[in-house]
Amino acid sequence: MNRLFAIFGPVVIALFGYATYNGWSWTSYDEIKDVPKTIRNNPGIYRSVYSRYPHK
Amino acid sequence: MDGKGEPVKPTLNKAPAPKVKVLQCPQCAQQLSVRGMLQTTTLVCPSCGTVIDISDENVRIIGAFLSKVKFAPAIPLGTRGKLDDGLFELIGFMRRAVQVEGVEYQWSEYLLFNPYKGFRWLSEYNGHWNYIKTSLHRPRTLMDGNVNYKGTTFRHFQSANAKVVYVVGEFYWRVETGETCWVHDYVAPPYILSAETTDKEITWSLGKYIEPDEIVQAFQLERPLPARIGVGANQPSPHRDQMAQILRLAVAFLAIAFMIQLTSLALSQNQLVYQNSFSYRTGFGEKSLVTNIFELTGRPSNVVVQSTAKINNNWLYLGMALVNDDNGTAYDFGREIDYYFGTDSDGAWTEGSRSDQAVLPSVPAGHYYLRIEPEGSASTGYSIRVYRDVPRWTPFLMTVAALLVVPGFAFLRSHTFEYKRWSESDHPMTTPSFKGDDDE
Repeated sequence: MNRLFAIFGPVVIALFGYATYNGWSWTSYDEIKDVPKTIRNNPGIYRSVYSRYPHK
Repeated sequence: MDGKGEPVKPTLNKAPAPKVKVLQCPQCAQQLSVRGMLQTTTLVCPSCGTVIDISDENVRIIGAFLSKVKFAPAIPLGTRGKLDDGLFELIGFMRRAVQVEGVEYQWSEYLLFNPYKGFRWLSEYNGHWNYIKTSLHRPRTLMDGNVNYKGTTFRHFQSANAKVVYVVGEFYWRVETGETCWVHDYVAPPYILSAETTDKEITWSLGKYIEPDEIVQAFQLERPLPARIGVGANQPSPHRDQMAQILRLAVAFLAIAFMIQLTSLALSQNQLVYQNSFSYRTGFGEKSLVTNIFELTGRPSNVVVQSTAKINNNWLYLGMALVNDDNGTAYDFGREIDYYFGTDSDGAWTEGSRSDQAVLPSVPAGHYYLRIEPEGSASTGYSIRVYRDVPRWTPFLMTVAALLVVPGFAFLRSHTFEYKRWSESDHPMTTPSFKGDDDE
């Protein structure tokens, strides 16, 4: 178990360091490429997948 | 053939035998050997169980062990074995028993003799062996019932009235049928300290746990010894050293994680890059809007979007996109703010919150704006704040939890071992056991 922990611990530390450096979080989001430039003039032309959340 | 020949392997059985005195059992005429020389007082005939006083030159019968069950010693009488402090010969064997809550527990004791070293004992219970030597040092009794022996605290394990139930071979005292004494055991693994108390005297002896394999090797036994059952009173915990090493590693890992977290706290920008307030109106018409452009700098890091709404017993949903104005990449996400309150028979209550926070990970530097599309059942005002490179505790806490999993598991295993050890004592542990396989 010591050997396992000697490997597991540094892996966890490395993941933590990477996550801290990149500002990791649980938040779910979608990355969309090449959205139209005209959004700034007409925000209604773009609908994200998170629009009109089905609730209540 | 190299002419050197095979190396001679010394065997204990080929060592010169010590001088023995031979006599006949006055009851059954069985030929008996006396190996303990002048030290032997009593001899029990292995054939008929007659107890013979050989300190009397007339070889007097002083009793008989009439046992329905004949116990075969795991180590035959007369076998010699090389132990830690010399070569010893097995000259006597006895079974002793205690009764605890109506249940009889028996164990075996083997008397060993070396003409220069004197007597030693081997005891065996449930396959757990101890090598025992009488101690002339009297331990100091502590206030809590434990004892201190040469600077080491031994914890009281068990006290019971022990009775001799079977005996064979030679002994240095006058063995009597049904002989009893109070036995008090104290443990500090791998040692056990025992006090045998009679009306006349208290005898202390110090035993050390010995692995069955060592006994087999020492006496060159051909038959296997009884299998180990459970945990011995003074059996060294196989988890103890492992636990210490794991704890040392855990402390080191936690210290590194804490240093990383401190560095993150010190070096993070934690910068407010945008804030504004908006109002949401129900009814027809386009609700979506875009914010002014703000700049995110530095390495790819998180962006925290805080939203606050002035809502009462209502909700507001914000469909949002963080759009990179330089390359047209959008990070789409949605957040719901709901806040309800009231009173009931239990008093005042609240549910939800008027504010929310979304953390977008690993957002590259660039010029960005937010597209916000609100949705709600009532008109309300809301505000948005955007922070760049915010230090967070969640990954650190998750790391700490992950790093404590292995030490926690090791602790449970170690605890279970101790739980099993003390379950047969006068002081069983009361905490529930972890169902592990730690019998050895």
